[in-house]
Formats: sequence, C-alpha cells, structure tokens
Amino acid sequence: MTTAILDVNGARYGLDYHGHDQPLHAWTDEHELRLSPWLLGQHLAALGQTTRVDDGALGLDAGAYAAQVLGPALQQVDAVARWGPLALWWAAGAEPEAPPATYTLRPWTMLERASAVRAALDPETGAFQVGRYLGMLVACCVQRVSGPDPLALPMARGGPLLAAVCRLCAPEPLLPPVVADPALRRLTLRICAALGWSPARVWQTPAGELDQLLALLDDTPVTRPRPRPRLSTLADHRDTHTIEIDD
Amino acid sequence: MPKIYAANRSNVLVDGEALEGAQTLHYRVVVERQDIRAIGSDERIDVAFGLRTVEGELIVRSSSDKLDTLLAQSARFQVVANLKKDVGMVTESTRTVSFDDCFVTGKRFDMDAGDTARTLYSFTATRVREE
Repeated sequence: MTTAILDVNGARYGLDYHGHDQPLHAWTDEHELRLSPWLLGQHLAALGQTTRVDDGALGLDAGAYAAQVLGPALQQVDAVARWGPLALWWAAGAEPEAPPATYTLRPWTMLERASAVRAALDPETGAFQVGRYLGMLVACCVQRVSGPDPLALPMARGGPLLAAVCRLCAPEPLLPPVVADPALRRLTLRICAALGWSPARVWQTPAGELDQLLALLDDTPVTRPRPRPRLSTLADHRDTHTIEIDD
Repeated sequence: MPKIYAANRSNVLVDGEALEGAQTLHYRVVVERQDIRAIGSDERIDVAFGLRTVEGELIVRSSSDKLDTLLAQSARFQVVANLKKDVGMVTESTRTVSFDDCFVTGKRFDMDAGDTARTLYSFTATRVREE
C-alpha cells in the first residue's frame, strides 16, 4: 500500500495511490471515497455535458465536471464541494506523459472535419457538443497498432494522446513572417501551384533546394491551355440581345 | 453589355414548327451609316443611314434538320420566339420576338461542358419585331 497526503488548493486528502491507471482510495477525517480510473471516453462524455461555447469561447463548468468524475452516487452539493478538488486532480492525471507509442496519428481530412462539425453542431440552437467533436477526432485520426481502444485508456495516457492528435489536426495559425512578408507569400503560393505541395512542405524544405526549384521554374516557359473559342461571334457585341431558353 | 432575357416555358418556332433543343438566340440590328462630308470643313455636315439588317444566331442541342434543310435550299423562313416566364403559379407571357424573311447563312459545331454537341446556325433577317 502506498499512502500519501495530497493537498489541492488547501483541501487535504489521504490517499492509497498506485497510479492513475489503478483504483484510488481516498479519505478525509470523516469520509472516504473510492474512484476507478478516469478514462478518455468518460472524459469526452463529461465534456459534452459540462462545456459550452459562449461568444466564441469554450467554457468548462469545473464543478459539474467534478461531479461527473465522482459519479452518480456523489452528486450532492456538499459531496462535490468536499471531493471536487480531488476529482479534478484525478481526472487531469498526475504527471504529463508522452502519448503512447502503440497508436499512430494522422491529420484528418477536410471531409472528416466537416462531418464532425455537422455531428457536433445543433443548427437550431447553435449548441456545440465538444465531446462529440473530439470523439470523432479520435475515431478518425487515432489508429490502434496494439493496446486497448483509445477511449478505454486512463486519462493519464489518454490525455496526452488527445492533446497530440489535437495539435496534429489543429496546427498553429500561419506564422507572422509568412503572413506579413508578401515575397514569402508569393513564393509559397507559386511553389504550391507549380508542384502541388502543401504550404507546410514548402516551409520545411531546405532553403537551398527551394532556390534550385525557383531557378528551374524561372527557366521553364509557362504553357497555358488555349482558351476554347466561343461558339457565338455575336455574343461579344455590346448591342447584342441574348435569349436563354430553359428546357 | 448584351441584353439577356432568361425565360422558362419558352419556345422557338421556325415557320410555325417548334425548334427542338433550342438553347440560345442571339441577335443584333445592324444599320449602315455614312457621314456626309463638305468641302472646306473638317466636320461632317450630316449623317446618312442606309441598309438596316438583323444578324442572328440560333444555338441548338444538338442539330436541327429543319434548319439544315433551309441552309441547303437557301430558303426563306420566319422565326418566332415566345418567351414565357412562370410568375408564382401563373404562367405569364411576357414577350414575343419575331424575325421576318430570314435566311440561314452558315453553321458551326461545338461540344459544350457536358460533352453534348451543339450547332450554331447563323441567319440574317429583314426585320425584327418585339411585342
């Protein structure tokens, strides 16, 4: 048995702690509590009930979230006040870990993201179900090599996995130099158009290689497809009347 | 800018027969004009207006035997375009454009974006009447 004392913002608990992936036994002077490992799937379901979007900002009701962690038997206000800090500590995971190596991640496609937004957004009320959106993100972009279903991972390991896939699918906005520098914008779009590359690939390419590519593009005559001649010769006259007849 | 009428529930009649597959009708009125000069002046003193003809084009999907025959025979014909447009539940006739004493002067082929053959028939008319 590993006995420890946990202090969360002044709330003190005695713990029988064996890691966040094992059941937890906690007690205070008068009460005791047993918690099962808090799983990624439970976290996403709880987010759906405890988050809301106001004025474009995502807000979390920490008390309601803690009540979800504590479970249906401890929904009373005094129980949440007593055990809430412990519940939030338990849900957050002890130490940040690297994402498990038994899963591979990939960025989601535009179609997958649009499907997730459609599933998460209520068009009538405008309510956005964050948990459902993130659940579809995990389902689309986390591929299991081995190990359990990602949603069955304890948050100590599922949390870093979720953070990693979020970073992969929602990269930082364009860096200021790219947005501000017209020459860099033109160069990026020119290479993207000529070679079909993504902007990220252009920026990660060695500068010398890009210079060589630009030199090749400069020396290559641009061949544009010949425009198809218009069937009508009258249509271009300013005084022509045109009647379109629908079937 | 061209003047464009978009009409549904419309038809084009060639000598009273409906022209199947009619897509577009272009036309313009051409009037010959001559400036009248005067000796001793670099300005014109009047304008003389001459022949007034109508140039037209009919685009048909995919071709018209009737117009092909008229082209082969250099025969005279009349074109009437009845433009009707639905206004709510009521079909309201809004415009009739008639071309008198027409002759087909040529034709060209094209494939549109949907890979459908189209034929353009050029014609001239003595006059156009809009009612």
